[in-house]
Amino acid sequence: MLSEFLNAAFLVALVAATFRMVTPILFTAIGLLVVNRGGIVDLSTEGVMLMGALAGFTAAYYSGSLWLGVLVGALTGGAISLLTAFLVVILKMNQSVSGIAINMLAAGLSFYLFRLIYGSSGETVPTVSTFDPLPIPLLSEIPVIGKVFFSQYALTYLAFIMVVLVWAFLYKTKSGLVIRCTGDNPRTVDTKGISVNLVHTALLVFGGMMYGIGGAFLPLVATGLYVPGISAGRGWIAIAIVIFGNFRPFRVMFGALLFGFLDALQLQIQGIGIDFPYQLLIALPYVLTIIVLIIGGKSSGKPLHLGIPYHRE
Amino acid sequence: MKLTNMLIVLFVVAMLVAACGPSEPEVVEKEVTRVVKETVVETVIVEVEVKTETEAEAGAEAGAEEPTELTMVAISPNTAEDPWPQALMQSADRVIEEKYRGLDMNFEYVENVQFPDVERVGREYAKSGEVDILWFHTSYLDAVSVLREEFPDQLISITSSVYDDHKAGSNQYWMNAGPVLESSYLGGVLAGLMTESNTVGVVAAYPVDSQTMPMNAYIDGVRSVNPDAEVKVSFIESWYDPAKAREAAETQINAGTDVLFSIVFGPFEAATKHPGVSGIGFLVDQIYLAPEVVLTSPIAKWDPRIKFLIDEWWEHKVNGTPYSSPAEAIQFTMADGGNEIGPINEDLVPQEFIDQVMDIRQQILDGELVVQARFEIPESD
Repeated sequence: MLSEFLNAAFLVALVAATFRMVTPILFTAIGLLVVNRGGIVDLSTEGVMLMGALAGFTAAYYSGSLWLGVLVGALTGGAISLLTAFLVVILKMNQSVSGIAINMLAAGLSFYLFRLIYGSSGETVPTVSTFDPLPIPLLSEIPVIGKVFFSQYALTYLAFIMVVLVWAFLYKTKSGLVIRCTGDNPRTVDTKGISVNLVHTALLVFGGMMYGIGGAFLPLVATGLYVPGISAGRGWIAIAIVIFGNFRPFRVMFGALLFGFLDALQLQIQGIGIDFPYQLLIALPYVLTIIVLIIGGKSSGKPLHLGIPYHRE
Repeated sequence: MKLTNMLIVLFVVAMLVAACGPSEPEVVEKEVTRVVKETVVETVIVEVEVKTETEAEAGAEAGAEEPTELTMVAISPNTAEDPWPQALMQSADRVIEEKYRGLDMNFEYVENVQFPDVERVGREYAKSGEVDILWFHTSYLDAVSVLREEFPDQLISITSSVYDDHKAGSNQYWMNAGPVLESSYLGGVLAGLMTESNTVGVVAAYPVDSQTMPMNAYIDGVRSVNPDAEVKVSFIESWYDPAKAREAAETQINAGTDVLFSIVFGPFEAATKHPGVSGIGFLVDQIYLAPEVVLTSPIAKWDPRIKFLIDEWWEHKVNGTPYSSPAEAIQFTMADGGNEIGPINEDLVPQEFIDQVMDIRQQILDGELVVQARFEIPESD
């Protein structure tokens, strides 16, 4: 069995599966990272993913266009996060409580809307045809690497491109510097004549759009159907990954890949019948996150003003 | 009050109202007039297990008054899309259509009831006096234990395929769900015949009785016609994560599997992306989900269980017979009409294989072949 596990084709399948499985989580985590770097705690990820999944699926179901589904998923996520912005930016409510409230609202609303749109016959489940993989010409022909990196879904490429773009934006542009300053010391930004409220609102809308795409990935790429609760905790995992990644884009990407790899690995172990308690691999990422939290301490990259409402005196 | 404070108060109220949404029971009322798809085997079901209408009417004549209506309410954490309630609702539809005992039956499925709310929701229905049969999901045993004492004249049924003691007795009946033993075996027979790679797979939720029993039956079915076939097994450790189930299926396909028994949503999507890979559904006819890959589905038929409860209720209502449930689970086999192999996709399956499956089905119905229920956790070969 172990020789089968070490088979090159199997390892290729394992890594390729890792990239697929990590995509929705990476979209959400990278969106949340930007929100966090601006100083906002946002716990609404799971609920917004659900709304993005429902809206994206519904748009694709009725229009027949999967890309329109992705767009509608993103816009819906952004719209829900506008509500979060109203609570935490305008009303200055507690950010954690607001996030949980939005989460509950989105979970209930998505279920209600699903019933409203698709009824409750119990006879059938609505389905759509999903995206096909998009092999990159020439590159996908490269042995091993081509199969792993260049034979993925368009949204998987986009998720990893977003990591690079977010990193470049945060660390190589003036606007990125403003965002990071807002997270650490919003008063400095304010004294420069930049509206902290505007920055926070923009970040939340961007983050919401990313959560929405992450949610839409599930019915439009992975499953072809929408069922209530389809996000299955991935929004919460994204929160853990941002902490695990110490609020840095590439570390967040690494953390997401680690989570995805371990999950893919436990499925592979079961699938080929290796005698190993696969449940350990499911629990391991969360154990690692707690360890990172404990040993992170002073070296934590957490923005200094994270979670603290900004009041202009 | 400041405007912002007012907005905060308004928002909190709105949030509370919205948050209550998923906790409130969502009632799914079934259409009495729905057209029911008849299958070849349905006549067998009624003849084998349940009292004939003539017998039932004769018994009723001895009583004081014959009821003409009956209301049954099923309370569950599952949403209506889940195959389990789908099977229950489709079974209720058939009983409604049949007008069993001449009754106009009203059936409601109450979905998404969270555990802290079960007792309250059940109590409201019991107190209303308008519900004749209250049917609870297996995970609600604690609430049922309270309600059965509180409402001794209320017929309560708890449904479970988990073989723990469900403390049945008096007005609490334990309907064993294990509804797809023989039909899962037949699904395995078809998989064993259809596989060209000689590797078949099964993707399930958790390693618990309700999953391992049909899995083992499926594996036994595969081996009965193809002793050398390899079987791949995956648990996704979630009741409801189609994306992960799809990835589990991808893993098995990479390992050579070409027929996937899909006990959870998700694997069919993987099958559609790999030519030559097919799937087998679970609990309800799932060919509609992916007609290009789904071969058939073991179907759970609750019909005889519902009729059994109606008979008990009738005796209590008409003749005043006290409810006296046996302590053990009440079971219905395939020969009793408790489960059935669903329609076989003739576009994908050669006629000779269909005939072979139906021959073995007949052996089961005739008692020549007995499928053993096994609950050990299967592992991949």
